[in-house]
Amino acid sequence: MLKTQISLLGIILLVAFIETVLVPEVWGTLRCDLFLGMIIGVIIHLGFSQGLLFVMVTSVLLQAFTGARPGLLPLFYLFTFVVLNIIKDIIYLENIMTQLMLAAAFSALGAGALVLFLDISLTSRELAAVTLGTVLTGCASPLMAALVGRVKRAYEG
Amino acid sequence: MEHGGTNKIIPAVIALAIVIVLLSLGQYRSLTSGLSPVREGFYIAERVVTTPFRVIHALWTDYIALVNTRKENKRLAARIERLEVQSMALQGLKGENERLRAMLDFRSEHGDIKLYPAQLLAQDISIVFKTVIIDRGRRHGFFPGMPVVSPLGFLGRVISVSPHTSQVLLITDPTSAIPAVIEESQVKGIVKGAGTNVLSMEYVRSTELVAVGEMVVTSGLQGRLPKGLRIGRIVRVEKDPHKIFTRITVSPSVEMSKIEGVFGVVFRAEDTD
Repeated sequence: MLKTQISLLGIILLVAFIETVLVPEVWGTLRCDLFLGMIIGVIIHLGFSQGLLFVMVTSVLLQAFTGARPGLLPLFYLFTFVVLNIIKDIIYLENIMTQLMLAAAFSALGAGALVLFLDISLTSRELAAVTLGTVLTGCASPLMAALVGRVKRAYEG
Repeated sequence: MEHGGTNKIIPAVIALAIVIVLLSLGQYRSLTSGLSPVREGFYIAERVVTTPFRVIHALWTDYIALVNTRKENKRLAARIERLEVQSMALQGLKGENERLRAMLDFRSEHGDIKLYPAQLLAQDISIVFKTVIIDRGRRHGFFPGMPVVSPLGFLGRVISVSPHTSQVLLITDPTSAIPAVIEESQVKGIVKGAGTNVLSMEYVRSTELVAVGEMVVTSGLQGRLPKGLRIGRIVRVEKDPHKIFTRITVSPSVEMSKIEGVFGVVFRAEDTD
C-alpha cells in the first residue's frame, strides 16, 4: 500500500510538471487537469480509504502550484472523489467513454464554478482555452486511470 | 510540244491562283482549322515512329538523373537540417539578447532601487488563478510582499517563498489589488485583477476626467511598492450617471502568458536587512 501511494505521489510530481510547465508552454492560457483521471483510477483500483488518503494528500500538495484560496483545491477534488464514489454503483466507471465524459464534466464544472463565484467574464480566447482544456482533460483521464491501475498491479498484484 | 506546254501552264496557273487566294485569305487563321485532320494524321504517325526512341531516351536520362537527384536530395536535406538548427539557435540568441538588453535598460532606468533577477519556473495549475513560480527564493533575497517587475512593467507581488523558489501573485489574479494612479491626470484608484488578461481600475470618481490610452502606474502608496511602475493602459472607460465611480478597464503592460525574465524589487533600506 505504501509503495503504491509513494509511486502515485511521484506521478503527481510529473503531473504537476506537465500541468504547470509543459502545457502552458504550448499555450499560456491552456490548462489540462490530469489529476481528475487519477481520481477515477484511484476509485476503480484502490478503493475508498486508500483513495481518500491519496486524494487528500495530493490535493494539498497541488495547492502549492496555485494561487487559489487554501483548501479550495482539496475541496473540489474531495467533492469529485465523493461524488464519483457514490455514482460508481450506478454507472460503469471502468468504461473509457464514461471516464472521459466524467472527467470532462467535472473539469467544466470546476472551471464554471470558479468563473461564477469569482464573477469573471472570460474573453472568447480564454473560453476557447477552457473548452480545449476540458476536452484534453477528458481525453487524458482514461490514460491516467489506467496508469493508476498499472501501479497498483505492479505493487499489490 | 506546244500542246504539251499548254497542258502544263493551265495546272500551273490554277496552282498560282490557289496560292494567291490562300495568301490573300491568310489573315483568317480560323480557316486553317479545316486542315486539322491532316495535322492529326501527321502527329499520330510521328508518335508511332518516335515513341520507342523517346521511351528509351527518357528511361536512360531519368534513371541517371534520379540517382544523382537522390544523392543531391540527401545532401540538401542534411544541409537544410543543419541550417534550421543554426537558425533556431540564432533566433534563440537574438530573443535572449533582446530580453537581456531590455532588462539592462530597466536596471539603468531604476538605479535607485535594488533588483533581484529571476526566471519563470512554472505557472498556476488553474486557469482562473494567476500566480507564477520563479526560480529565486529566500536564499536569494526574496521575501513575501516583495514587488516583482519585468522590463515592460509591474507583474505582481511575492506571496510565499521557499529557499529556492517564490510564488508570485500576478496583478491579473482576482484577489490582487494595487494602489495606482493615472500618469497624465494623477487620478488615484485601485487596480484589481479580474482573473482574465485585463484589469479593472476601481474607486475613480465619475467626475474625474479619464481617457482611453492613458497610462496607469503604481502610486507608491503601498509600503513596499515603488512609485511609477507601469501597470497598463486604459482601454475602456464606462461612465454611468447613476453611479459614483467610473468603470475603467486596463490592459496590462506585460503579457502575462509570455513572462520570462523578472526582477524582485527592493527600494526601502529595511527590506534588504
